Amino acid sequence: MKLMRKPIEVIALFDFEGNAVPIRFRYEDESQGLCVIKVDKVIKKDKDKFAGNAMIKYTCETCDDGAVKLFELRYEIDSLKWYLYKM
Amino acid sequence: MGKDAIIKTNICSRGFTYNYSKNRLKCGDIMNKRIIMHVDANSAYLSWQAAYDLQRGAAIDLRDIPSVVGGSQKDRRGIVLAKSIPAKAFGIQTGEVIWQARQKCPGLVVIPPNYELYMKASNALYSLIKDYSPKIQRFSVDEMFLDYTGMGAFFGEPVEAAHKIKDRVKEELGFTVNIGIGENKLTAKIAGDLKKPDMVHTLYHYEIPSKMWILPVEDLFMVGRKTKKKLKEININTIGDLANTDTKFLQNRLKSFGLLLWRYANGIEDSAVSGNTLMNIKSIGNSTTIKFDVEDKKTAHKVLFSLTESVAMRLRGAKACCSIVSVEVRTSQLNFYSHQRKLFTPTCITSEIFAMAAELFEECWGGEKIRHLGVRVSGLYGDDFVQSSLFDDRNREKREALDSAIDSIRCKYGKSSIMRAVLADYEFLPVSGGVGEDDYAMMSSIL
Repeated sequence: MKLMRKPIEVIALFDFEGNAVPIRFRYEDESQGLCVIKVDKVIKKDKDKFAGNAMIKYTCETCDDGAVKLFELRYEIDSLKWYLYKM
Repeated sequence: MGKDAIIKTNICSRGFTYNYSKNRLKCGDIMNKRIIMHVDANSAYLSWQAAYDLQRGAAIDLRDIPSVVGGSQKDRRGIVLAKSIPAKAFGIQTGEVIWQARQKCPGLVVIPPNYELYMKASNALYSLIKDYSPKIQRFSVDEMFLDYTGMGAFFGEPVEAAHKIKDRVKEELGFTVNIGIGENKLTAKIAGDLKKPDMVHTLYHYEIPSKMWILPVEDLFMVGRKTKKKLKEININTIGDLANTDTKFLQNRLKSFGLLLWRYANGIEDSAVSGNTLMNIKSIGNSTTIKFDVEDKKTAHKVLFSLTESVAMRLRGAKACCSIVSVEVRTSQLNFYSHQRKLFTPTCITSEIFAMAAELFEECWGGEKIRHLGVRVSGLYGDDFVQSSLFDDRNREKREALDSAIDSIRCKYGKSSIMRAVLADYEFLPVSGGVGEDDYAMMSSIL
């Protein structure tokens, strides 16, 4: 996985318990333009409170042309922003 | 569970268990001794910014390169607020001017302060250490006192618990803290400053001669530059020298402050760990460095007004009235002078404080270019009742009501929601000074 740190637009499901589950997201790629990626599975969910800034880290996988790709999304709770952190 | 139920708890790391019943809590020595911890974030502003940057995927850790947090040079607030340990190796000191720091270290990285982040980090630290004791005092944004008395039964011996806290902060919040353990707030604070970073130190009463008395006298709480000079004059160089000086001699030299210092040097201090230090405030002040040199009276008055606004607001917030107003001026040549006067009637009304500040300013100002202005009020009384006089403004009550209405509007909708028309050109903030963050915990000289 490579460090990306890109702000992304996300469709997520917020369940009854208040958990946010990312379903699909898109981002602007310099070479390919707008890329849409479907989140097939959330493997791990962690909370990060570095310097008091709460973030939820999602390690997810997607299926791209038959190949499974890993990536990490981050949701910043104070700003309500999503980031594609690593891919 | 019954009252006499036996609770089995692991108290120390040595591996043995204590059995004690709930109503005999005081039997063990560990229960009687007052234990205070002082938690202090290492180079707080810088390491918070570093942790925040790392969280956002920064490639370099600011703590590993020569870097400082400093105000902007453009606004002429360019001083070093915090420095990394590699920056310290270049001889850069906190409070130094940025260009001087750059001269010492050419590749220095300067980061602007982010008070919102600091408040967040401080709140996170507070909520983490709240797990270990119900009694916590936020001494400043990066320092907290924790009363660990009687908590040994739950979290183990103080040193062990302190290590646990320290490691949890590092793991969860991404920055390091120093924890000092003592029998009162003073010894805890001094223990926390012994060696940095990421350490736990103890300073119990029997350790005072060996650990504290060997330190230079300026390491003692409340000994600043000026007191240090006075003490050096009477040949007091270490805290031990001070502790072993005759109290009468000290009192003669430094008045009641001498006695206080002597008590501190002997580790005697008994204030409680409490959230409320407002009661002991002696003065409230506010000052600002202006972005350009002020040359006319009108602009200076504007600055004074915006400073007075925040001073008076804080004064009313502390439920106090002031009887002395003072004005401080620093010229573009960096000369400093101040002027003060006692008021006839104690007040907390913005316009009355401003009127006095403006009068004082006009009396002391010789027409020089001004770089920095400050307003300070002291001689504080409670605001429950005030001795009025025949010469008071008749509209006092109306003005008080106006001020309290303004305060509540600002409290609800923010500081710039309502402002005096004289400041409406936005050349200066309607309420200036401070760090721009509400509820930001500042340092205090009162333990």
